[in-house]
Order: sequence, then structure tokens, then C-alpha cells
Amino acid sequence: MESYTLALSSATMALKAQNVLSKYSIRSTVVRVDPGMTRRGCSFGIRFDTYNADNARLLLTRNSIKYSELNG
Amino acid sequence: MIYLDNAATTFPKPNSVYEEVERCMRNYCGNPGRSGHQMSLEAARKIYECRESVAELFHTSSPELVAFTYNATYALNLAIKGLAHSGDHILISNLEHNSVIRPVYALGRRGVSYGIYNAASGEDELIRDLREKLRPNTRMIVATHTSNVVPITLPIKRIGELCARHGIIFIVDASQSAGIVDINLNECNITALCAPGHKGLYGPQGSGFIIFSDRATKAEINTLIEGGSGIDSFEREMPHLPPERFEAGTLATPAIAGLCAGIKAIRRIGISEIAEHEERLRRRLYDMLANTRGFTLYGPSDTRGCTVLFNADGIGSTELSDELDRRGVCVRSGFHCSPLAHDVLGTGDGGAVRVSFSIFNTEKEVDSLYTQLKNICKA
Repeated sequence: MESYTLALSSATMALKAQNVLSKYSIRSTVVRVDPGMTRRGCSFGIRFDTYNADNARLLLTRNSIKYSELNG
Repeated sequence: MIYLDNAATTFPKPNSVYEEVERCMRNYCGNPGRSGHQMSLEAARKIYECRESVAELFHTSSPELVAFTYNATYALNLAIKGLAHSGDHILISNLEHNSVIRPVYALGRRGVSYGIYNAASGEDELIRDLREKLRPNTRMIVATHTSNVVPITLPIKRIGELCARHGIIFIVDASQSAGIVDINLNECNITALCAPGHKGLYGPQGSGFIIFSDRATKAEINTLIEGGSGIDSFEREMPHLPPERFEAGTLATPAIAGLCAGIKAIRRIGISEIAEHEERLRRRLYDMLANTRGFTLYGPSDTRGCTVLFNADGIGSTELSDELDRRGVCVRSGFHCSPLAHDVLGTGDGGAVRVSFSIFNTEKEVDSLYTQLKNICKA
């Protein structure tokens, strides 16, 4: 299964995002994002199955959780 | 040994606290929010779980607005110094602990002035005095929710309403009330609430926190210290958002894990049940001393709380607490880091003896303390 990763501002926000997604039965894992993939240096993200990407973005936005797409 | 110094730190803790601290130290004590391996992530999950527990306890829905500190003093310094600017005026009550008095006094060197309102003469007098002391540049009101010296709890809902009406920052020191009084951060218009983990929340020493309202995060809050945050490594400034903005350096993961267990324990027992229990013990001791010649009690007699403050005729407060210690009873004498309160109570010269309770104390222990006190005073 292909996976997709969104970057969050911190481990705290990644864990919050994971909790939100899990309430809607979207399984995800918190991961350390490769520093080269974001502009700010070290950060965290959540990884989930690619087919959940649209729903995940929608749920995070609804819950005022800011995320960013990875550069590469 | 009978431990009755719970306003300083509660002892013992629930078994689940000891167990969780050990479980953390042995199994998942990685550095939270730093690495991507399982041990670090598990530590970060526990920290986040504790943020959620704290947020729920104060009826807010934003765990990310809970920042962990090492005690309430650190949290209060962060709130007061982080939100005050040169030219501001701050109002503090005459029941504040030095953890409020000293940072406010220190801000005097940065052009911040302060005034003191009377919180020891009833709610209406407090509100009247506060209104009278407001200035156009009053930016902040600080209130200890419950005094650490006498059983007086300030009307934070009414103070919060006044703050909201005048656009004033409201900081609450919940050192003595967290875990004993139900506090709704938003209903009380609290900008920032500070508390230790090791008192009424039954966590280990080294745990404390500040919880911000959504409103607070719209203001620029200065940091107390700067350092590693695990994110934004190439930025020279601290991250702009809480909690990482205020959590430079490695967190005290075992202490926070223990705090998480402590909060679970008090929620299992029930905050109101804990308050009832401690009030029952306080009232028992208060009534016994009030009906015995040779003892002077301080503070209002008709309030609720978990401290009893007294002196015995012909014996200094420290001499009395030392003698109790020799007999296996732990209490605290002196000024309890609250000089303004002792001045108001008339104990500013020699201090007084404070007895403070927890959920683990019993009526038998109170009776034993009373017997020891009578024996010491007879001798």
C-alpha cells in the first residue's frame, strides 16, 4: 500500500493530528520528517495510506490543524 | 510518621504514580519530540496524553496550549514576565506567594509598576478594592486561587469577569486549588493558569505547567529561556507556537508521566470528594483547637479549605513544629513564602504553624496531632 506524509509544526501537533484522524478511523503513524523535505529544518509528520489523503487534509483543516505538503 | 505538610507537596502519592514513573524510566524514557525512533515517540505520546489530561481537567479542548514547566514558580514567572511590558501596571492580591510577588517586583526594574488588592476581607470588598485600584495602564491581574496559608479561595469567576470587561490579562495561581477545586478556564476568563504537578494533582516534584487560553496565544508571549525544541532547527528564534515555544530543552518525562497518573487517580476519586474529605479533616482540627485554651487560630472560621494556621501560647512556631517533628508529625512553620498574607493575619513577626491535608490523611491522624499538641503545650 502506498503511503503519504503530511508535515506538522511539531511532535505535539503531529500527535494531535493522529488523534483526530483516528477518531475517523484513519490509521496513521507519527514520523520524523527528513530535514531536507521542509524549509525549516527538523519537523514531524503523519503518514497514512495514500487513499486517505483527501479525507485527512479535510479533517485536519476542519480541526484547525495546520499542515504542509512535503517538497519532494 | 504523620505527614500534614501537603500544601508544600503531597505525600504519599497514589501507587499508580510510583508505578508509572518506574515504567517510564525502565521502558519508554526516550527524549520526547526529538527523535523518530519508537522510544522517543512513546515518550512524546505520554507527554501528549498528559497535555490532554490537563486540558480536560480545566475544561479546555486545546492540549497544545498546555506547556510543561518544572514547578508552578517557573510557570508563574513565564506568565508574568512573558506577558508584561514596560509601562504596564499589574495588580496582585495580598495573599500571593513569593512566586508571584518576586517576579512582579523584579519587573519593576523593567519599568513595570504594581499595586496590591485586598483579598482577605471577603469577595465584595475584593472586587470593590480591585475596581478602585484599576489604572488606565493596568494590563494584568494576578490571583492566587486558594491561599497557601489560610483557607481563603478567591472568586476567580468574578475577577475574570472584571478582567474581560476591561480587556485585562488574568493570571491564576492554582498551586493550592488544582485537583481540589473544579476550575473552568474559559468560564473564568483566565488568560493563563499556572500549577505545580506535585501538590493536589499528586504527581512527582519536577512537574508543573502553564495552560493558556486561546485568547492568550494571540498576544506575543516572551520566552523565559531559549534552546533546543526538536523543530525548526535552523531558526535562530524559538518556535512561535506553544507548547514548544516555552519548553526549551528536554522535558522531565518521568515526572510528567507520573503527573499523568496522578491526574487519572484524582479523577477516579473525584475532585469534589477530595475537597469534602480535606474540609472534614480541617474542620475537625479547627474546632478542636478553637475549643482548647492556649491556641490562636488565624483566618476566617466560616470558610472551606485544607489548611489550618495557628500558634500556641508561649512557644514559637518553629519550636513547636520541631517538637512535632521529634514526635513523628510533619507540619510547616514560619511564613510559608507568603509575607503579605502573614502581615495581614498579624503573624508577620514570628509566623505560625500550618497544617495541611491530603486525600490520604485520616481523622485518626488529626486526633493524634491534637493529642501531641496538647501534650507539648502542657509540658
